[in-house]
Amino acid sequence: MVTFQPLDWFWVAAYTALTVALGAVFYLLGRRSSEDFFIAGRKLPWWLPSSSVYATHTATDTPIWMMGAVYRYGLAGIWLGFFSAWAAISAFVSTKIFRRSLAYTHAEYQSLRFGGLGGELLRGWIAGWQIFMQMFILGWVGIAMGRVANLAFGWPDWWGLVLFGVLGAVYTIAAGYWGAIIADVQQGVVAFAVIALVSVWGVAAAGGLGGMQERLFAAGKGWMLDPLHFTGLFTGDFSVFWFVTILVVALIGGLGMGTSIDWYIEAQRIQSAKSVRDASWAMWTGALLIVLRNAIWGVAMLAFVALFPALDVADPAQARTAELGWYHLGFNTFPVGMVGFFFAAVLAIHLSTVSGSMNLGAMYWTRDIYQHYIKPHATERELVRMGRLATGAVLLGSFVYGSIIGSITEWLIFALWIMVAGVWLPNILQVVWWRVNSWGYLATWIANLGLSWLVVWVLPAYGLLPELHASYQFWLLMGLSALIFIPVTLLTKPEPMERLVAFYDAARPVGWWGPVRRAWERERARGAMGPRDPPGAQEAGGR
Amino acid sequence: MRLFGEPWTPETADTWTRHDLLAAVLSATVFVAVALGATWTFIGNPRGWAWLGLALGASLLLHAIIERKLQAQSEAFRRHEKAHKQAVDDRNRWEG
Repeated sequence: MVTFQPLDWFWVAAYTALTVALGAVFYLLGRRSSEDFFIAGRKLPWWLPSSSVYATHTATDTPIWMMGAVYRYGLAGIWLGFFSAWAAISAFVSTKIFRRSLAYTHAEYQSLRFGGLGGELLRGWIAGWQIFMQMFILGWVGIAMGRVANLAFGWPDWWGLVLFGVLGAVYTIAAGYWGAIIADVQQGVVAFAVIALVSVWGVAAAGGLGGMQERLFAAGKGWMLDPLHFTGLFTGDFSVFWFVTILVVALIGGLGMGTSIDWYIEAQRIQSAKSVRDASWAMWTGALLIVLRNAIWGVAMLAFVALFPALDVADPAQARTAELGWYHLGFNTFPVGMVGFFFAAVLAIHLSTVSGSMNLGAMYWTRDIYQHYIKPHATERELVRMGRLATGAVLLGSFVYGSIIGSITEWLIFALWIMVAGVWLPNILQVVWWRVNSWGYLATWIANLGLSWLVVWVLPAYGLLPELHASYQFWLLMGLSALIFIPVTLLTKPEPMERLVAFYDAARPVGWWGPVRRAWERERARGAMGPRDPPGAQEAGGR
Repeated sequence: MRLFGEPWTPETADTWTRHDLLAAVLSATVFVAVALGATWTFIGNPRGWAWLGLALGASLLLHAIIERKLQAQSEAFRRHEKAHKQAVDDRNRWEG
């Protein structure tokens, strides 16, 4: 437990007041329309959503699982955080396409890309899944915050879950996405500063860079200093094959919406940017900051390993100590009066994630379910009110999941894996291949639920399949899903050309869109295609 | 089509060209180089500076290749955006 001095409490109180004040300040902007409440009216310059990409993906659970990875694999563990690099290629491919589609959510994108019943089924399914996932994620990071508060003050875990969740809800309900994104900027700055400070203090506590390295070599862990240290080409927990799989999943996934865990929340940030260019640079810089942050974090975590090299991660109690290593460093190495600053920064890390997830879950409900299926002609005032109610409901749902998270962690990991492996290929192909239709995509989603269950749990439990490493699970699930996705797609009709042409006109997707592009050119030539440039626009557009 | 300083029009900017492909390749290079370079630099390994240098160079090249095209694309899309937005909202209300 940590003993707070008056100055420590000052930091926490000042930070809390600042955060809540933002909700009050941006209340008027958030209430103007549902477009403001959920995507800030699509008016943001690139650096605002960029800060939010970074801040939202810096959660209280991130240093916990990263610390666990670094404790096991050394600096190579940072590659497990490289999935955010999907934005590297996406920024110049799928980000532009999605921003041009003008869909609020990934679910809405389905009904623009696909038509008819299939498109609607996909939209409803993805919206419902995402509301559930946002509650799940909120419960997950909320209980992580509870563990940190337990470490600091000895509180029961659920106190932190509830207290800091409600704090985040105050400004998110008041100001919606405006409140969340403006808070993300200051939260991102505070979090980045503290992450850097903990690394400096942590390395100093381990005897400086030289001392830290000596300690690691003395403990027989000198290999941890190499971020390219692998356990073998195909063997061990961290093989070259796993490393290459991570790079492929992340980078190639950026051609479409491949790493869909991240895609859902980034889609909102893409859509809130004021232009296609701003969306591209927001994603690029935000994700690059995450990669940089991982490196800074990695050094602090390595310092913890140097200080406590003999923890046995097979023992649950010691594994918990190891996983909370970064927090131990912060609470124990910061000078008196600054521990509160560290805790305020942890609050910033936490609030930036919960506010984003609450607003996103509420948007799926309000835009994709309530407005689209229940009350299509709801007024803007009604939609904002529904957005606020849904924000509160998502928070309450997260308390339920948070309270049982200990017994469902495996389910969460399973659910996240479902969202990556089996649908990775269709998520890419639906962007780059015109022939992908709603039935092929939907069939893959449904089949993937069963296939993931079989490959991850059922078949290994009966000895019919060995327990595979995640890298092999990924390729196997991708292959099995492709065996369903490709035939179903080719045996069912393509989407109506009229729908595809309308989508092409707005989004201009890249890849194999030849038949659609030719149809679009014919339509355009006879003047039947949607919006046209005003006279003289082409000359004016050149720079 | 010039790699640098191409005078993009709304029409040409809206087509996928080698500039986009190069941007994607350079961008992926930057991400890997930053991950490696920053990690090595922060633990005092001089190899890190070389990787960070590569990341910086690739970033500058990326910006030089794609920024003007992104600006032109944005400008072109902005003219269409209002009508597209109306179509999306209409469809959400089952009117489109």
